[in-house]
Amino acid sequence: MSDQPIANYEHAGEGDIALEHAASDKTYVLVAVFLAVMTGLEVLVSYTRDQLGPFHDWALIILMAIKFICVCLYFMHLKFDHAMTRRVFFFGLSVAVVVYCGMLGTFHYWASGFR
Amino acid sequence: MSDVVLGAESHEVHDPYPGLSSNSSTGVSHAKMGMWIFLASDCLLFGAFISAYLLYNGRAQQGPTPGDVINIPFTSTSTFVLLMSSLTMVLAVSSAHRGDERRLRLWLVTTAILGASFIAGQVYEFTTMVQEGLGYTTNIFGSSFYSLTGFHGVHVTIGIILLLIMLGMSLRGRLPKAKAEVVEVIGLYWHFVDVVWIVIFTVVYLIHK
Amino acid sequence: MAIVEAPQQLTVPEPALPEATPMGVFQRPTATTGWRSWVTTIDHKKIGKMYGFMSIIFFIIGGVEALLIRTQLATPNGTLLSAQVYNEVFTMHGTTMIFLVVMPLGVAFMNYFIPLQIGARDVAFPRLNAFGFWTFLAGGIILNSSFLLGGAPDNGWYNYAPNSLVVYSPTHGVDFWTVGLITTGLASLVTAINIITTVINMRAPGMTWFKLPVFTWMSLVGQFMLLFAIPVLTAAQFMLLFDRRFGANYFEVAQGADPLLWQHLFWIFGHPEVYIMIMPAFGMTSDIVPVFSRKPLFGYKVMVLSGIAIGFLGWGVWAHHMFTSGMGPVSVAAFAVGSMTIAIPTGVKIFNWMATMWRGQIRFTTAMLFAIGMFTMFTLGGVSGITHAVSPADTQQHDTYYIVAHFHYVLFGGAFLVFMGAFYYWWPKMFGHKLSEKLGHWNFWLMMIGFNLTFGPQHILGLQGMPRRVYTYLPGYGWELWNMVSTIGSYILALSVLLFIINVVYSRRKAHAAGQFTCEPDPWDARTLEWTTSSPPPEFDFYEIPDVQDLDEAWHRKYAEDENGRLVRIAKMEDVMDKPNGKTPHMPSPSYWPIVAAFSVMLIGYGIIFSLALCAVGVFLLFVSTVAWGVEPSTHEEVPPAEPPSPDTGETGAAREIHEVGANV
Repeated sequence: MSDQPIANYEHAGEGDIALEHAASDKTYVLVAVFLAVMTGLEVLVSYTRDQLGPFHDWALIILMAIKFICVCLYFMHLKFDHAMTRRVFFFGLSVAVVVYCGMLGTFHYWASGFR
Repeated sequence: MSDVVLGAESHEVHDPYPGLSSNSSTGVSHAKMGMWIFLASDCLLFGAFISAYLLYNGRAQQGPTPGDVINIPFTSTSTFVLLMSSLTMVLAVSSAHRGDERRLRLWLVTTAILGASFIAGQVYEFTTMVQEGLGYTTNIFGSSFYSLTGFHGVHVTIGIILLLIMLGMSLRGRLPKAKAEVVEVIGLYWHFVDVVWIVIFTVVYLIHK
Repeated sequence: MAIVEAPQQLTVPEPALPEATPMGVFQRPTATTGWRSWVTTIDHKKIGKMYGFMSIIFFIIGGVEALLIRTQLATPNGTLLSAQVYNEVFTMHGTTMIFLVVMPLGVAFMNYFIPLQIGARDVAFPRLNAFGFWTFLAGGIILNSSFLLGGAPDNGWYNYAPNSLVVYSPTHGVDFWTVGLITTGLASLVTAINIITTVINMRAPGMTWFKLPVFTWMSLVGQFMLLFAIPVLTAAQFMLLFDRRFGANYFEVAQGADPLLWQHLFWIFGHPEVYIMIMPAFGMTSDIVPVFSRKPLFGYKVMVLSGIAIGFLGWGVWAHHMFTSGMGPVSVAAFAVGSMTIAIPTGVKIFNWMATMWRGQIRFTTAMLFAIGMFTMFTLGGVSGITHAVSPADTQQHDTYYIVAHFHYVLFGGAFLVFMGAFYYWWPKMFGHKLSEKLGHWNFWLMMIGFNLTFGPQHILGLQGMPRRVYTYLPGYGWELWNMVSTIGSYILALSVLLFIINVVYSRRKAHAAGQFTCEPDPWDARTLEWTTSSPPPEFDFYEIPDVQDLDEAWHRKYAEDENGRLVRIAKMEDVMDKPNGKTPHMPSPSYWPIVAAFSVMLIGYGIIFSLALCAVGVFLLFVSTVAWGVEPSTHEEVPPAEPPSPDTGETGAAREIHEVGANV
């Protein structure tokens, strides 16, 4: 340990222990490569609007969600951290998604897909 | 909720002052918990701007539409840059936890440079769009587009400033291993800015009509 | 890795890090008395008192505005106010009462009592707490200064766009409104983060989720709602601000904008907002009623879960404010059903309060009277609320005085009445002496009479068709009598508030003349943890962090059941309270930076309205103050440790690390 012990962390919070051992730099690089590939895929899909038709938008949304979750779970350590951090963040995220999708719904927005 | 309850019950035997030190009922430090709570709240802020943009998409009465001004190859590049800055940020956090201060500074600088390149790209993009006739007040698309991406840009800029402050702290020897969590908490902010961009890139740039 | 150390590392007495020199502009403040101590304080109790004090000041301002409105409407063809001034006065009345009175008054009690109720020594981020208070004050000043700087906002507290755009509201009033509320929104956001972190992270050992006092629980739910609601308002206000100041097109209908966007965003915030205001009041009632009934709260878990249910449902009902906006039948039906379901958990709460009183040994103290007043008046307001959820009926009631009556019954009759009760209940803990019960009873009955005379008749006026926000009316509609009654009631209400202030001054004089600056720790024979500290509590709240065994910890320290199941007293609070143990915990030092940072936020606010140069100054000052804040250690380096660290616990070493990480973020 460092020669300057810091005295204020309790007996190993479960999250902190996990953070140290759960993901190595190699994992991070792999995740980044995966994200880059997904981004490339997204750009590809975006040029196939005519071929994919109504699936085009939803394919993009699914790819986006995968990227989003990956960054949260790995880069932001949510996968390894205390459950409370996950709950707080995904709770806020769900409130946002539900409320704003609901709002757009009252404008009959979803009837026509992403206009 | 069970694990949280457990967390409180198995609460420090060793620390007599749980209220004052960063010891906590959950084992997560106050700073990290506070940052997560803030980020949860920020979802709603960006959500409002994104949904306003979506609602107004295709309603512009005059002037350029997204199809006229959006340059997907260019923005894909800057998206890639921001994505890579997330990787360098997480490597910085990892170096900080290992106590490798030299690498920490290296990755902090890299992250800041990547972030700054993203902002430079955004400035270039905005300038080009203005030249193509899309001002902030031109139409409803201009207002909602610039406000949304501008808000994101402000977040990135604040992130760069925070990175530079951390770099300064590290140079003065004030980010030792013991304080690695400062890097981690700022890192959370940086990654959040990145995930917001993941959403913006898809719904604004790729799903435009 | 660094931040996880083996427990024995706790014994190292040295501070872990080299102490940084604070930015050399100011000496670190050290005052503990006088105005300086208030300006620089980061003590949650002092900040709580300041919140309470400022809320009462703003309450008086908002109250005077209310009296102006009522005087104008007392008779037909009133001439006291012009139409324009009337618009400004009712807008500021609503804005002030909601954002500068009811919300911060709740925060005042949360600030003071949540750390005491969960057995903590302070909140999680003490300096952020101070910043929150000063930013709230800055926002309040920006809002109210609009009267002097060219005209107050004049569109109602909801400021519907596009009616609030420059074309229809050419003064700077609406800009003051947006900027002022973005500022108080920032204060609310940091306070919400602070309180949520405190409750999640700083509960004393043994204080599990289902041992939290109900006030803490309900405040937590309310702060979560605030956390998610306030950014929606902030975003909408930024859009409005950009439209007004920089020519954006968010609400320009000619450019294809949809006016309903503002309404949706505003009410996505606005509906959770009403629960944000009432939640702490629910919690206070749930704390006060059991104490003065000498019974545990009936159905504690159900109370908590119904509060959480309200918190969830409160997010799905915002569009019931917009039934007449033409959203379409499906939306209206969905939101009508959603709105009705909220009555279920709310009804559960009301029945549980009554069941708590059932066969209890009720003491009708002023606090108890206010709590009973709260849930009777709130029930009336809730019943009229149900009639709004019925969308066809709402079409008739929309924008009439019936609505005004309804929300005053829930906000004044619900939230504010029990805030008054909370003052009477917690006053001895905060100030070391009780408020006069005799004056308190007068205060309560006058307030009840005045309140019902003011707002009861407005139901009738509304059903007779009197619209809201009209600055005057003609004779002959049958509105004269009830308007006059309502105005008389409002003056009785004002008298009761005056009586409260008289009570505060009188009780304080009396106590201090008798040399009484502290009182017994537990004057009401109460149940929750805050009553186990001295009155007022020491600066660090607890000498010994309590080890919580039971829900209603204070009660279980005093009482037990004998073999026949009868309640017997086993100890006096004086014997089982938190007592000096020879140790003085080391607390974080005061700081100038929170108030400087809040001041620079105010400069930025005025800068956006008047001159971008001022804005730049504010941004620079904000940057300097936050960096200085960040590098400032949370404790003053020259403060010697209160005592040598004891080798077995090393608490001094631990205590020196106060909020080290949090303080630098």
